[in-house]
Amino acid sequence: MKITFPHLGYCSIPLKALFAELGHDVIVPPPITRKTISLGTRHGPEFACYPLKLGLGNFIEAMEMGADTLVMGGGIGPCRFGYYAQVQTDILKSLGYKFRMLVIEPPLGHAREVLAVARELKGEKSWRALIRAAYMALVKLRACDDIHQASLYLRPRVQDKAGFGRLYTRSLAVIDEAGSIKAIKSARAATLAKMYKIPRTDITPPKVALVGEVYLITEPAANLYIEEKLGNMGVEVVRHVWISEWLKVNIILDFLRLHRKESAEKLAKPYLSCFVGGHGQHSVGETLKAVRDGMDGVIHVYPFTCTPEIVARGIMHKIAAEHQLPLVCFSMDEQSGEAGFQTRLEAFVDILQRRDASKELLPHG
Amino acid sequence: MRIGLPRALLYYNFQPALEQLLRIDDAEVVISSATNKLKLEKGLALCDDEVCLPVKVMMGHVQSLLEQDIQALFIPRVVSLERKRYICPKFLGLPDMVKSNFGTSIPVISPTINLSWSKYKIWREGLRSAGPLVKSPWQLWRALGSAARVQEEYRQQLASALEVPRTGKRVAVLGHAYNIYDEYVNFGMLRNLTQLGVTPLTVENFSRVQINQGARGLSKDLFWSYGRDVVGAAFYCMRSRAVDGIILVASFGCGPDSLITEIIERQFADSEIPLMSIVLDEHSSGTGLTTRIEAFVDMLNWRDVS
Repeated sequence: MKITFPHLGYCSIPLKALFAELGHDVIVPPPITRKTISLGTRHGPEFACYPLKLGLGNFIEAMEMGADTLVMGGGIGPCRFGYYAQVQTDILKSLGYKFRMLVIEPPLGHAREVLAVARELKGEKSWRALIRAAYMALVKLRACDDIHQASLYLRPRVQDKAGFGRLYTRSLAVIDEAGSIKAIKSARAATLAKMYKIPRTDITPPKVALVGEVYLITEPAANLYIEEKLGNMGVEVVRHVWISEWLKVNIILDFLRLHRKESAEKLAKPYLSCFVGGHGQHSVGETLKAVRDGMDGVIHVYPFTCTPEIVARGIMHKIAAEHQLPLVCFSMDEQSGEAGFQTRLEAFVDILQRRDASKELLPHG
Repeated sequence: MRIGLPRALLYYNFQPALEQLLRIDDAEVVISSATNKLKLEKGLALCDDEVCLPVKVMMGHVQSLLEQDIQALFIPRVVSLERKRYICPKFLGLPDMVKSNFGTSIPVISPTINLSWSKYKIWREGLRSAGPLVKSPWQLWRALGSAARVQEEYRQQLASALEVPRTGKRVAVLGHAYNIYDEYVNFGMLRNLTQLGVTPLTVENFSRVQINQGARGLSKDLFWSYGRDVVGAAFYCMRSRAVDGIILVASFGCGPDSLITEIIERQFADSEIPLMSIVLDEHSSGTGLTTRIEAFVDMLNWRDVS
């Protein structure tokens, strides 16, 4: 069994660890490039959202490298992601690939299916080994999230941005290589210490909240490396969507029926009073949170034609106008051009810096 | 009391029930007139560019109602029409979108509608949302019952269309009701087909049994009610050869339809029933659409000759 899965930012690191611990061969799809995008676009449905196409491209490239088992997430709607695995299976079969698709449905209400997939994945190993592997994957995920979070804070502040970028990439690689929980924990501590030691400027960077759809926020190749770009422009990005957090809330707490409405959803109530699928309500809530926390701006990223985010977007514009908060929306797909994106981002950052300058918080620059 | 009811979105599905329900009181129901250029333009000006066409049309209807001296708007929050299935997420946020577009100058009656609830719960929700509008709770209870009855009669009446012996060609025109029955949006597609001597059938013309039978061909049950109806009807047509051709109608950027069209097109790739898919948006041209439909019908007729 040669397992592969679609990319989602650095999630390939914990996923690789999970399957490797269970004794499977893991084929991590090559990083998302123009080739991946064009494969996904050529074979995927025209109006499907960007995540479907990129995932499809990942699967094709991984199967070219010999993968025969695909692991994919499921869902119960109303977001269309819940049907992606089925559509991707149809497409890949019609292309003549031989493979098995394992779909992990949300555990609540699909306990039997989830158990069947878990049994399949654990193979001959014991259930204890499965739990240990899952725990290790979670620790790795947590470590990656921590390193990334530190990078969001540090990148706009450090003097040597290029050097910092190299250190960040290396840090994730170190976590990837760590083979035991102890090693992961010490690698995390060591890299974080190294990151904080890099000399910084004394500028207080403007703070921007990055809100929107989880895939577009988490996968840098899909959002055209927005966090890195903003960091290099001297803007601190604050985001509230973290995969480890998301897993905790949506999978574990939900399964134990402990799901409390997160505060963002509560905040959103007066403007968008119910769940609209995906992260729509969350985006509205995060915008209000940004107002409350005195952020300098909000950036909204989502895949083109994503209905929940489009519903949210109209409402977010009203909130932003009410509170005079700079807001920019990027709806991304395979047509998104690097140069246009860069220009819009720079213009937005200019606005932030000018507003700051007029408040005399920042020297002109 | 004048209550405005926009002739858009699910109005086309639930017309009989809605009219029955809103008749309970001495309130006067103002239903906006058919979609026209002015309404669409108003809607376009009010909405974000990425919103789908039916929502833009909806906003245009709301705007035109507001110009007609109404005291309240009826815009329900439709969550689900059957157990474990949803409809498009935009219906969940619709009252909020309307409120954010038009401010709070006018009261919006927006009951949460979940037809998988018990009648008691639906009644309670109706009482809560309509507030002082309902004079007697008992009256609402009765109205709910009669609305359900009228709707069911209407559905059964439509679903018997397939039993009529066929005269000439039959083409299934499948898609969301708000695209199929809004003549302005689809440039009178159904009328066009009838004029060409073809009997158009819509999703409503298939019975629940037929749709369920068709939907069994899915690898995972679809969680969108209307999407499942379209797929079920299409698959049923493919197996039973009940029609000579299928036209799929979707609006540009429609999330569920992007996948449904893909699923159906793949299944029909080696079927003998021709399939054409049409995508509508505010830039669609009537002439282009008519030409495509004429070509499709010509092709159906030529198949007989060869």
